[in-house]
Amino acid sequence: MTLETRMARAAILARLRQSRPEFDEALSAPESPLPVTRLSAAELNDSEALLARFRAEVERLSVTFQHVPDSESALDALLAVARAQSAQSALLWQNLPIYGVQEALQSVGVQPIVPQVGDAARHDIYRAWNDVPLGISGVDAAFATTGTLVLATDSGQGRLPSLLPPTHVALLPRQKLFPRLEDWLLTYGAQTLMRSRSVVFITGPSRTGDIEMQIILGVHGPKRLHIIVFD
Amino acid sequence: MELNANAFPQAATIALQDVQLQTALARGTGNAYQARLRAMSEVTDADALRRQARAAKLRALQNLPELLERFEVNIAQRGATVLWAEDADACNRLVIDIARRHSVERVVKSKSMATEEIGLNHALESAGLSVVETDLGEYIVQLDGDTPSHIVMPIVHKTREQVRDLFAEKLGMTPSDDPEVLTAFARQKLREAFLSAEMGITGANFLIAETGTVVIVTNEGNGRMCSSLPPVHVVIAGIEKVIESVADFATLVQLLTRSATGQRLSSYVHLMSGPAAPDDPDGPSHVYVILLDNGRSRIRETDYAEALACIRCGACLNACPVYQNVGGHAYGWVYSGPIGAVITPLLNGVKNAAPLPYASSLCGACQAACPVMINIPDLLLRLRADLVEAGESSPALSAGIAAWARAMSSPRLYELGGAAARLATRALTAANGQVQRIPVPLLGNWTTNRDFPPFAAKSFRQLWRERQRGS
Ligand code: SF4
Repeated sequence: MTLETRMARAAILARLRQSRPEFDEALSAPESPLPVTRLSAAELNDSEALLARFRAEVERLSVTFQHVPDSESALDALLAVARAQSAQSALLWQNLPIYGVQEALQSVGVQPIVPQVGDAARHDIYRAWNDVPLGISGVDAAFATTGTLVLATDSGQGRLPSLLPPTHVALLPRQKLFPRLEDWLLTYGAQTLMRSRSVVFITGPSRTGDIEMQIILGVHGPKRLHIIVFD
Repeated sequence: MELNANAFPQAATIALQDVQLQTALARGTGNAYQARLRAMSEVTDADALRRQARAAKLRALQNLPELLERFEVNIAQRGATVLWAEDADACNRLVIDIARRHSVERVVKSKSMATEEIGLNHALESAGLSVVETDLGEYIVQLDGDTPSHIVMPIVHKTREQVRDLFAEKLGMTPSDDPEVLTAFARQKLREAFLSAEMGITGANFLIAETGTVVIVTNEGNGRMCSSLPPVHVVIAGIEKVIESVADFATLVQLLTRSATGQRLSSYVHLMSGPAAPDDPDGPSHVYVILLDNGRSRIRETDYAEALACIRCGACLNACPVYQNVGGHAYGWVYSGPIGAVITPLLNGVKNAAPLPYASSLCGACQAACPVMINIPDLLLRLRADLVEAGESSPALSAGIAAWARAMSSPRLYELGGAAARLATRALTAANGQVQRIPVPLLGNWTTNRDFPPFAAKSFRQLWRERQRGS
């Protein structure tokens, strides 16, 4: 395998170096690229307007949006979701943006599970967690104009809580809301991508339109996405 | 995938008689066409953004060797293994070797055109591995022994009743033609596959050189499942997927999703760069990225290099009056529609896909829809010239198909955007339900030479198979 692929590498790169396609237009990278989405002056300057835009975007995507004044009420809101789902257990990040989530869950009879997966018994562990109804994560950044959440892996911040369960609750500290994906990427993108092995932009619940273009939610990932924003 | 592009005229004629197909195509392409128009009308400046996206891709094509090396260094630093493959066979062998090394038996796959192109599933199955396609549309296609007919909407050619019958027959499901029920059933089946797979295979929409990042865009979440759950994740990406920077990615990804489905962003844009870090709670233990050439570096040396800028959004398919009427299977290979008519001859040799450059009226709708402004009509004209020069073009055939393509595109018979296709096919149907002459000399001869079944509930594939057997 190694010899063949090394020879392929050399041959492909040699061909690519031998000639370069010429194109008529100027191709230099723009110093400040044109942003894709429109943003009103109000949205840029007023955090209320920005939050309203974010809310409108996520609600258009069938996301449940809640804005609460502080982390204490965020915890209450989270417990209310757990009750509504009659959850007995939840997959969650170790490092959540509010304190005391694990204890609070336990006190209302919900078993908190912080996934830790290695190569040993990987498949058995997945199977055991497959019926967990609720996943809880924080958010590393959110974008108002597209209604997007960014979740980056880190120690204590895994992939599974936002992937396996049918309901995903995302706890979003308000200061992590940015106007646009493109602005955030230019400022924080490279460093975030270099730091985390997995970064996912989540825009609404899992969906498909494969059968006759009818939109169905919850194909593989979560069917319900619940965002709790707190100041 | 087996190449059947030279049979385009016959396949197209059959497709025109498949009423279910016509209905499905009109709905699918029409919806997607309108969704893209809406999504592109609300951006800052659509044409300026398309120029920006185009420049990003063309710049990447110019600097391809350096960018590939930069990507390789950056992702290898974080523990991924980068492998290079000259062609389909080499790539398939690499995947099989990786599977053996990690004692893999069960593979889950996320939709990838490159793996369709190299016939990966077949190769893996021949090597004794079980392979499950996990995109809902691709899963249905795999169950049915069918092939996808659109880059973005793989089963745009199927009706819900066909899916109902397939699930009932192959999976023993209690029949239902409710997409919600069908999807829930498939979710269960596929979840089982995700949980037990030892290897996940995905394609890549972009490779970002600056950060060594693989970008996988999906709506269903199956891409994330394949790249997060199994212990081994293999990425198969054409070398033309690499782009320079995070800034270029910001423009390209948004134009991709707006052009493909009209979404501001797809549900999941997954950016991954290697196996789980030592203190990550979860994720794959081994990541391999296979950089596949399979003819791309040769295309880059020609006047057709621009075709490699394609980001596979499918917008040109939805906008094309010929695709709207005949669907993807008629093109006889993995890539269909206007860009397929360019890429299939380039990757397989013009003489093996001689009708495709003529399967267009050069109306320009494809270029107008393309987020990277690929000049598809111009590329098709050049391919026609190549065919003539190679003495591979039969004047009668090419004139016939070209005239037919014009008829497909004539606003009198077919309005852009789709729904009128049904009326047009009905106009060709006599009272007894037999198909009448198609209004083009060559194709017309073909239809009069053979007995056509009436507009029965037969699918394109059934009709096509019957014809293959009969001739
Ligand atoms: S050629 Fe352009 S419009 Fe067609 S699939 Fe490629 S990027 Fe999309």
